[in-house]
Amino acid sequence: MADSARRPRLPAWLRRLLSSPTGLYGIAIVVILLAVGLLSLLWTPYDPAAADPYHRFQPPSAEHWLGTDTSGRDILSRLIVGARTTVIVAFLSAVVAAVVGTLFAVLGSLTHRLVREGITVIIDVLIAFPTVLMAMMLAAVFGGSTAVVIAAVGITYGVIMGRVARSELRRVAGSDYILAARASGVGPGRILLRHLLPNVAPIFIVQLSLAAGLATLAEAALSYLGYGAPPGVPSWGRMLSETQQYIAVQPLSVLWPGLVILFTVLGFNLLGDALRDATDPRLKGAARVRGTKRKVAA
Amino acid sequence: MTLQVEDLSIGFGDRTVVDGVSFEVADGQRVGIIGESGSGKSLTALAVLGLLPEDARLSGSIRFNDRELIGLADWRMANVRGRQIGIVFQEPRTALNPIRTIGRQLVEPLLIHRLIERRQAKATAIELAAAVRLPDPERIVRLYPHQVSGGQRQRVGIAIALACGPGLLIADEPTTALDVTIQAEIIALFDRLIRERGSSLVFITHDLAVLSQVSSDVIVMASGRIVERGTVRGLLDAPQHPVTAGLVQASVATSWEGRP
Amino acid sequence: MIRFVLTRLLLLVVGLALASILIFLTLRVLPGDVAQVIGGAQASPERVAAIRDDLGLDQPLPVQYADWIGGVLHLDLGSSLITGTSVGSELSQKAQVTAPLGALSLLFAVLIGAPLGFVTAVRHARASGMIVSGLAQTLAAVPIVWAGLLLIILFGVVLGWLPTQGFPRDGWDEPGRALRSLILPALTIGIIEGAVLLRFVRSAVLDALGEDYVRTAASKGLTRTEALVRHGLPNVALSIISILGIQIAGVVVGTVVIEQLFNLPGIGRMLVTDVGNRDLPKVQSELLLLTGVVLIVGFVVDLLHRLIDPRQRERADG
Repeated sequence: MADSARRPRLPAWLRRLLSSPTGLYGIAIVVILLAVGLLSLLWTPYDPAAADPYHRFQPPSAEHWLGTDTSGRDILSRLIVGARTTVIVAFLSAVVAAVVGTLFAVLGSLTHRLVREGITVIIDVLIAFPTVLMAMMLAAVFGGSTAVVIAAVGITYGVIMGRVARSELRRVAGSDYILAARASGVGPGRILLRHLLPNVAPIFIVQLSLAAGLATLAEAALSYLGYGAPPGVPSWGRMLSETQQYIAVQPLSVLWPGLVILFTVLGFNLLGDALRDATDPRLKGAARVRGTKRKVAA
Repeated sequence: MTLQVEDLSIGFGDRTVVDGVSFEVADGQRVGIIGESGSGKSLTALAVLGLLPEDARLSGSIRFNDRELIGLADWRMANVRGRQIGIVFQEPRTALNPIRTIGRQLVEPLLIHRLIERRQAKATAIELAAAVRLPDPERIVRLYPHQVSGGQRQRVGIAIALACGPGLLIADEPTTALDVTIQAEIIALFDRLIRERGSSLVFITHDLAVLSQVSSDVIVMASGRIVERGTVRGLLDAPQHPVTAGLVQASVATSWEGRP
Repeated sequence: MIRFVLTRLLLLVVGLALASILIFLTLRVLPGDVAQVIGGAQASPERVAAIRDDLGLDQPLPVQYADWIGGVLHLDLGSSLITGTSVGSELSQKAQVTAPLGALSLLFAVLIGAPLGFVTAVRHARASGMIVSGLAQTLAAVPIVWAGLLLIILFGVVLGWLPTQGFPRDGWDEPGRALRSLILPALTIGIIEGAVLLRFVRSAVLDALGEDYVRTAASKGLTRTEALVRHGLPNVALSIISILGIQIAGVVVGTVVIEQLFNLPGIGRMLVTDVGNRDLPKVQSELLLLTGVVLIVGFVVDLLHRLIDPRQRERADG
């Protein structure tokens, strides 16, 4: 048909992703987050640092859509600016995790046997370090900052991703198709780039989305403990921890920072789930639609 | 031991996968159901035993010994399964529980239906293993499924299905996953055991050559419907439906002895 | 089999050693002079030198490490830089809060996650199953601090049923009061970890539902639920054991944040304070303890795994 020949076709997994409700929701959240983050650089309803002592703890109104906080600052504006930190933390953590994960995966599968064994032991040890403990350790040395959060999440999640990717790489590297390529003289670098990595990519992308969600949650927890962004940098995590002192005075103020974190993390998680479903080649057509992996006997 | 299926339809969501299937199996009769994969033949078998997925919609009638099975409560159906109707599945690799010994899995139907006591279990397991000609039955009952071959696992499956002496045995592509060399042995085993017990048999397969060794009455299914019925001889000589013709061609092509 | 256990044990020891080295090295990479930081900006050079001597900071790194580890192996975890009290005695005191908190949290998590995970898997095609599953997914995205605050508002501020801060000074001499002050904290961790556990259990049971051998079991004369429980569950018990191992790591982390939120005098809060004070000896040993717990749990889970699965048992002999 002439029509389909002219219109460019999206890759199959992308089409599937866009046709699932969870996938759309996830993409929407991530896009909104990015947009708000960018917006914050240009404009906010009010100056997020502008204190107004005469209008503290105002409930939501036409002027302040989400009300004001303990110093009279507009909550909505602060949330908008906080989104910037969340975007940076989430995306940079994912990048660091990807780099660390790839490193471990490649070193742990394609090298000399001694190196592989060594990497295995290192992975097992690093995996035992929960993100928060790793962050505390780094904070003890370097003081609290967003960099610490990013490093901690990136390393701990990168190790997890590395382990997953490594077993996948091992499996693929031993396949007949790769052996044939090597036998016909294709260089190792090319094999890595053109054949091995694309096989592992779908799993990686799913994990990256989940990493972004975890990073957001970690930022909240670590900011609460005092290891996250310093007071000058607005962050949802610190906004949340600041509300604790005032829960008796204005319980409503607890609601907003937590809600935005919830929706953001949910978005990342749903996106990750939808990506997993869209890229899993083992699901048959009908089972994929129903979202389960049951076999339907013919 | 009669089975009467009348106007059976099975659907998932808004798809109908089996449509208006009707056939009968008389006492001691052997009926073959043949068709390509996706023709709905396995689903029909699962429907008889009440083993379809939860979201399947059933309509029509399945009567076994004058008792309606569709709509029967699961616990009542459980009493029928194994005891009165047995089934052998296609894939021996996954049909057995990997963390239980073969012996335990062999006697389980007898224990469930209280046909033997616990203390008889070990001896009975060895008997069952011997009845399907498993090598070294005393040793094999202590092994786990992953420690024996595919052909041997399928023999275990057959022993399980026949353990309680059911009046009707359904075999869903029992030889499809096996080596060609083993297939003949398994078919011969089927033939002998069924004949010895006088059970009725429904044999499902896509291979007409295999079917011809077990039964003479055949139903042909395609896209969820029955498209032709007859005897093996009759179908081979004069297939009426294009699907049947295709199946005949396929069986001639693969048959080693150059039959028909 | 023995050989397998010994190998894993060796790996555990190596893992603990590596963890201790990692902790030690990271903490020594402090920019600036530790002794100066501790002494304060106004401290005299003699004072700073005395602190440095106290800490043994002039010794070469390997010697410092050996001192520490040597002490650990004799169950001497060092002393606080600030107060001089023994780390070991403080730890055992705070453990009286953290250990019951962790256990109670795990209990809540399992009570919430396991049965609901099973039910939502069996009813995955029906509305009730899908709703609960969606709820669990949402809960898993809730920041733990927020969950704690909301529970405090509900049960503390609004209803006033439960204490929301602190732990009785007499500790477990008054078991009733002590337990009541742990309920909200444990519930917070339990709900969040329970939601995570629910999704794992659901996934495992769904896998079991789709297994051929469960269908074979039903064909022998069991009801479909009986077949799932008797044949499917033991098989997925293996993956659930691994999941519980991960849960424990989550609980360990949870206690750090939660003790801060609910003002409980436990190991987690002590760690936070010590990091803030740059009290190196304490932080070192505390971190080693917490990571050690996670590593040991992992070791036990591994062992259970190989013991239960006959497919791996014979490989274990190799």
